[in-house]
Amino acid sequence: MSADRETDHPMAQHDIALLLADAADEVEIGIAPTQALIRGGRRRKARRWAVAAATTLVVTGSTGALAMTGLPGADGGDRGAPTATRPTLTASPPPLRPPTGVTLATGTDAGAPWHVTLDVWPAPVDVEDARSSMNAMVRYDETPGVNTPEELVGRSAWFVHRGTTTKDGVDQEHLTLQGLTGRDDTMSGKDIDAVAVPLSPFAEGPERLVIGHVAKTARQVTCTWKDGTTTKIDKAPVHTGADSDGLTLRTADGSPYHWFVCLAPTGTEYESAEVTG
Amino acid sequence: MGESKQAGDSAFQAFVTGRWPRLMRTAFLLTGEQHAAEDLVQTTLEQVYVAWRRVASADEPEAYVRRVMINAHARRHRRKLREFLAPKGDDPGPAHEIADTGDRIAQADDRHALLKALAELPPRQREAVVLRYWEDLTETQTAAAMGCSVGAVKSNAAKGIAKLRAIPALADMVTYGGRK
Repeated sequence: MSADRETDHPMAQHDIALLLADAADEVEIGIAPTQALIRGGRRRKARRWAVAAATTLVVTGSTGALAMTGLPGADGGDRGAPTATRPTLTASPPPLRPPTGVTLATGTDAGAPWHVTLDVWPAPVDVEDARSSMNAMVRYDETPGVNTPEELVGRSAWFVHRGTTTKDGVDQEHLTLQGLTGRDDTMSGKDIDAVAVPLSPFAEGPERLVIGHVAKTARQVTCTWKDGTTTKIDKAPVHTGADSDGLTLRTADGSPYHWFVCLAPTGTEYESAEVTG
Repeated sequence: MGESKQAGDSAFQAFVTGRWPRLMRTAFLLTGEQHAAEDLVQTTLEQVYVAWRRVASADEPEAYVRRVMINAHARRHRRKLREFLAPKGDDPGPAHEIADTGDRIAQADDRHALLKALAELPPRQREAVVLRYWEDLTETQTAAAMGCSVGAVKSNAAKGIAKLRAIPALADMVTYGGRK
């Protein structure tokens, strides 16, 4: 008897359903550990890949007129300076870099350079394309959250790295966030996803670095710090390039979001982030 | 913002409390082991929390949760290709979540016979059987949860059921209406 005929038999389906229900009763249900799940979810939000630092939260924006303050040492060179989008590579698999790499922000903090970058892989058009993309991603230690190439078709994978250079001149970089976006995966209005982490990828410390994304219609994001001060991030001018100054909302080919990065002044840390314009 | 976050957490808690028993049962059938089931549900719901704003506003949040759970379950087998290719291979140690409980299962009742039989199915067949016949999903819903075609669901479910019925103890149970 063929397998299809087996499952087409209504008694077989009925029987297996009964048996499964019986077997499922074997499990001890217990009490849902809701608080532990929330804590775990918050950790997962900020460190998909075992980032050693503590994490903060997701926020949904609301309006608010907040006073702007500068980044730490705004007059002393301790502020971010986003650079230009890297050129798109079209070869498959790409030989050196993912198809789109964007430096979301760079700066110096207490004399140490830091940077946040975003890699966006275009959505594969078919399984073969997805397989090639996944093979290419491996070269960059980037693994999308899918189990098979089929699951990647039509979905763009993105990866955010943050890095610093220590006083000893050692470059440190760590994958901080990753995700997938599909055609229906858009944000609107004052939607905002933000994560706060320590600036150094491998050190404990206050959650001063905020990385997030908002709808493409957003023109301004305000980060509020625990000491009550704020930092406003505006959309980059059309012709912003490597010589541009200040932190801005950034776009990346293939990403349905605007991206932003805030750095809290020394001595305080992340409180909230909102779309304010 | 704080109020919004608190409201989101409250809604998430309510969702978890309501779905926990069902999710535990499904996870138990997928993993065949109490602690593995708890771990799978916890992993699933942590991921759901991350995307809670979107999940909560979805027409079918349960469908999203199912998809996350199936992905999480499949991910655990991603590096265990041998299980996909040769479920009764010569090195079954790491392949099945309940492989180390074989002796106990051999001595157990019909529930254990089914759980053992399920565990011996390749993961995709196991998922198809559990979703179709325990979750009572349609083929289309199952395909959405598994991230595959309806044809693949049909094939995996059919092969899974056929293998279950080929097991003598289970065939006897089915013959007598699902219970000994």
